[in-house]
Amino acid sequence: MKLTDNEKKMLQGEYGPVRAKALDYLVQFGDAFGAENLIPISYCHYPAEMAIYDGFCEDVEAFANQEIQVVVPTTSSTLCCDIVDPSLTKCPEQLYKTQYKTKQAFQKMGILETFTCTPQQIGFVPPFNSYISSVESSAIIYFNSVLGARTNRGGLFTRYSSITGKYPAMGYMLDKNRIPTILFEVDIKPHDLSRVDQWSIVGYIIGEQAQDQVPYIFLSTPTHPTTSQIISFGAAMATSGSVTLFHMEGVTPEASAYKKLRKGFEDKVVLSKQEIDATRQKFQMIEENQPIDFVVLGCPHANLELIRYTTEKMESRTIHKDVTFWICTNRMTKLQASHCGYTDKLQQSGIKLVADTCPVESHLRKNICTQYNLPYPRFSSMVSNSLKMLHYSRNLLGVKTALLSTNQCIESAIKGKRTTVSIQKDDDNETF
Amino acid sequence: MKHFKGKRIVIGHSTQSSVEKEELTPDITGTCIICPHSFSFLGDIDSSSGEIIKSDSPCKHMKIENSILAFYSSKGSSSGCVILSSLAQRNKGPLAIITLHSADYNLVEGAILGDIPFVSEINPTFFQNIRTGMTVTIRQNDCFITKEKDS
Repeated sequence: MKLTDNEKKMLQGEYGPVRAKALDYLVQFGDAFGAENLIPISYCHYPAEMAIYDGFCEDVEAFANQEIQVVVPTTSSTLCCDIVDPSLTKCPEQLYKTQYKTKQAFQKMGILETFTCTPQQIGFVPPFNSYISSVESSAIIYFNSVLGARTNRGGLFTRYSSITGKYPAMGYMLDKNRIPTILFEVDIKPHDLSRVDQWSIVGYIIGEQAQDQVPYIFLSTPTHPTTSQIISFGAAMATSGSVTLFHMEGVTPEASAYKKLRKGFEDKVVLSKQEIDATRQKFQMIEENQPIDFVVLGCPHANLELIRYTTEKMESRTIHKDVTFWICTNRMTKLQASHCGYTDKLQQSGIKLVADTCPVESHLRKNICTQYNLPYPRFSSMVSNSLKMLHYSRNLLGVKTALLSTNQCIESAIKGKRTTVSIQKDDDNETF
Repeated sequence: MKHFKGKRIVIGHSTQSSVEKEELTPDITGTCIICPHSFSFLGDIDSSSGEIIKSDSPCKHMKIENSILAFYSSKGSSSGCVILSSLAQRNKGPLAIITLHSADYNLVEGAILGDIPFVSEINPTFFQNIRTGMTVTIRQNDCFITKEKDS
């Protein structure tokens, strides 16, 4: 790999041994994929070193104790508990104490304590064509596709990028790898693509079929998704596959450059309502009117509008006594929700506004329940408006699942059983 | 002896620097677990024990520890890197990874940190010829069957 003089100095230890080692890892990484050089990055989204993985909090603590600081703005992804109020999710105390080490380490390193999977919703919106290094598959696909920033599927090496400001010139950093390779024609009526859960299904199907390719998506009826819809769409695509970048005609910024290619694709997949119904059915493990005990909204993390919407829909009603209802979000949005009075209202309804985490990243996983002598599975029947949440929860939390609209999730929480029929009409004008 | 060509992305099994690794490309021999599907380290595997928990996998309940783990491609959460690296740190990780498709950047980070050899873009006939339980040797970019399944 060709290095600049400054990079050579860094590799030789002129900026200290920690940065030298970090750059060495990035060079190894780049060499593995034939990268010709390193490129400067302007932003990092860093993996929260979670207490549910043995040794990770201690590792980041030791790293921070080397007096090393990030050199680019760096946000952080989710933790295993609400770091301000771990009792909200009944996180075991020892797990919380371990997780707290991450918070302290991040402060030392200058990493922003955002603890969210959707940093783009709290102002971290890297510009078009900017080079960044990010974890969190739902954020990565949003950064690449919707914003036109450039990142690969990052992992723990974002640590090294954050303290060196570098990443190898490879993968989706390069123009040649951003060209679409598979065409999807979505032939679905606007009515069937008007809510978050519906976008989630379409994303999931595309991810399953595209796997690691770059999809070009053509909607037969032009539709403009909301922010929540396109976040959910990308998150699902990056769950069933490893899609890192998609182009959607009329929606994403790079799509127009490839419009002429549409007729020349060798691989073309047509999606219709039939495929949507079949995929919904795969996750429908709870029959109508069967009891449910866990409702989750906010995967990926909820924005303020979803919180307002849920508060309004509850209309001072309370959820069923056998139901636990989490809305997962980030700290900044939770503070804003509290400012608006939503947090208290939700609490009075029995709904917990949980920051910094989500069920899949929490102690509800089987291996953590075993470790802390907690009953498993903690919940038996989960409903959510997110296929990403349901996909991971089936195996990790041991729950039966059903994908519902947001409104149906809310009504099911109130009745304590899966409820869809009576409120079908209400959903017609809903975007959540 | 049948051999299947791939691309050695991570050399692994040494703790040397990038320069020294170039000179040391050790052979890896181990029992193969063949997962004929894409694989997510979040959700398809128990992150404590390394047991495959993917409900519709023919490899369900197998532990990846000290095996050569082969699958089509990696998918899903970017936590995959964290889980692979965590398993490796606790000696619960695989001896090596082989994939049919090009390597996922996220998982390769985990493999580098865990010092796990990683061969990508293996010749597709590998999956037609190798069964779970066979012993396979990885030498440079090639994979060989060194022992058929006992049964």
